[in-house]
Amino acid sequence: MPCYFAIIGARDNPIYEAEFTSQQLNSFPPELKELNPFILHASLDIIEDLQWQVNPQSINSGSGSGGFLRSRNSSNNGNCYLGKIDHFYGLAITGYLSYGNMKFVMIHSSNANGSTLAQVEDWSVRSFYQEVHELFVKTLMNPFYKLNDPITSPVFDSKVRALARRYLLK
Amino acid sequence: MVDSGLASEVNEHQRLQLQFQLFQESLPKVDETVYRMLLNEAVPLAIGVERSLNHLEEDSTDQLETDLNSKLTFESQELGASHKLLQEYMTADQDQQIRINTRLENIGFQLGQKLSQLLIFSNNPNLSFKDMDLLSVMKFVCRDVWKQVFGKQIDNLKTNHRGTFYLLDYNYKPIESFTLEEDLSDQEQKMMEPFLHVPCGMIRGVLASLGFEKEDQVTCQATLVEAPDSKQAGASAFAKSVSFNVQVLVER
Amino acid sequence: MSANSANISASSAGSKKSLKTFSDDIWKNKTAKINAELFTLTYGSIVSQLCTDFERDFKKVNSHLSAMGYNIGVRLIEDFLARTALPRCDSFTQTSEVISKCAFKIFLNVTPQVGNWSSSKDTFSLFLDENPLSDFVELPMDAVKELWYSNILCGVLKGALEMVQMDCDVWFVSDVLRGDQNTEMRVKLNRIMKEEIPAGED
Repeated sequence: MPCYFAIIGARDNPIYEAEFTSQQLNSFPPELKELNPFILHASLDIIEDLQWQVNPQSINSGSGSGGFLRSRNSSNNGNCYLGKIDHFYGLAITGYLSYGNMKFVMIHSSNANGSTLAQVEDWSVRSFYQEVHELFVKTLMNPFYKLNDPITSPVFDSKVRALARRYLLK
Repeated sequence: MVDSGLASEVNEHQRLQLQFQLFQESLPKVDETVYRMLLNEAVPLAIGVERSLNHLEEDSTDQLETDLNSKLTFESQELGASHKLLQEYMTADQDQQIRINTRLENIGFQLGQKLSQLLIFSNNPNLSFKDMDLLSVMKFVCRDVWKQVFGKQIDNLKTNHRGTFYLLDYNYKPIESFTLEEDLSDQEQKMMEPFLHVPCGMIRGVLASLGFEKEDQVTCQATLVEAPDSKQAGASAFAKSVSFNVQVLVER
Repeated sequence: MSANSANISASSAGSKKSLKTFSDDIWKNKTAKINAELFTLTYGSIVSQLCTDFERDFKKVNSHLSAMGYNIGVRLIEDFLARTALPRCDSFTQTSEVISKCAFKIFLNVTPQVGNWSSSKDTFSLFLDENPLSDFVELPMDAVKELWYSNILCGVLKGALEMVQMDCDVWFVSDVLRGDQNTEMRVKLNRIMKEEIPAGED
């Protein structure tokens, strides 16, 4: 199922966006495609409300070797995942919040022409968000990247798309 | 029953602390001396940049010619040794001093901003999403950030609970190795000044990355202070205490 | 310590191994350490500030990084000699080994490969497979051809070698950050300086 994914900065400015489609021609219909950014923005308010209700789960860390960033096996970041936060004419919207107030948002559409509600597989969507979060922190570590600037790195883009293929477009 | 529940909770916390400590120890490392030198050398660098930029304005043609020389051209002799550059700070006019210090604050700011994201992304049991109010952010600065960068925690944190904080470091590492007299001359005090701007920027950077990011929302000023008697073990401890005064404008 | 030092000046075949063991021991037992990622971030902040200050005139950034390294190198050598108590090197070949297996090891915990010797044995290369300065770094397009991101290392080596009477030129010839196959530094010995004579006054 096609998805539209965006990272929104602390000032509600878009930092990165991508549309994930599989080969079988099921992309967003053009009239919906144009709406995507608006749908996302509408959901930002919901995220902001949720932000202050999130309960931190007990941390179940799995310490590994390597740098800070290689510690992703822990479920520590699980509490960033907000799950399905909204829906809009058969589209499901999920969200994820980073500690630095970056919002990761995604619109999931169903395979059939919007007639049935899109299903969200929490496990894979959560994994996708967590790995993108890790990529994002790595990008942040690049001294030439300034927080809240759009991410233009083609490396980042291709890695995010690879993650989408792995977790979302099955 | 209640007691045992509490005990196991404490143990769980200790276990996580230990696990986090082990995790920290397992991370890739470099030599601490090299790091201290790098951080401190940012000060003469910032002064050298100032000179170089001024020089650039004076006669840009000369500079261009030096650039055209081979790749091996080495400006170090021209830029001068660290201590000479530090001397230059003393004779610089006020605008230049401000520019130098701003430059150092910017370096600290970027470091703080990124370091905090990295520290939070790791499995730090001292942090939880829900509790990220201003006080816990400041505690995070005092405990986790300071420990990472300076190898020790802030010794004392004071607050009026309305956005004013005093962070006291009785042995501020970057100036630890400086030989200082019991009574600092004004000149020596002045010389310390730029070394205090990196951490000021760093504190602002951490705060900015955790939501206190509006322009002029956070100010930070550092001053050399006398350490309390209890900490005054050696005579030299006197001059190396620094007080960071952080003001945060909180909305609502 | 003295036993170790004796080993270093022993036959070259034997010394290679012992120099490694010797350095590993210093790194493990006599080195205060900090997180490499903190080091990376700090250096990154410094470089990016320089790029801003010089409005992306990367040649200037290169030379300031190198100058900064030089000022570190001339003092870092003291620490190095105090900690290792190594005797004077007999040859430039030995110097290259000490730099890669000992200096890089105890300061940055990496061991670059030495190679690409010139026929006159006065120039060699250090190949940095790992470089703690440049983790996470992705050069912006305009910097790819101009900036030597890790140029501070050239200055450090030049400064340190100068303090032990070796007048050297040190420069980068390639960097994986620029899309090159490997990261290679060249070290060229110009001359051995006579003691008691300050640099630049023959």
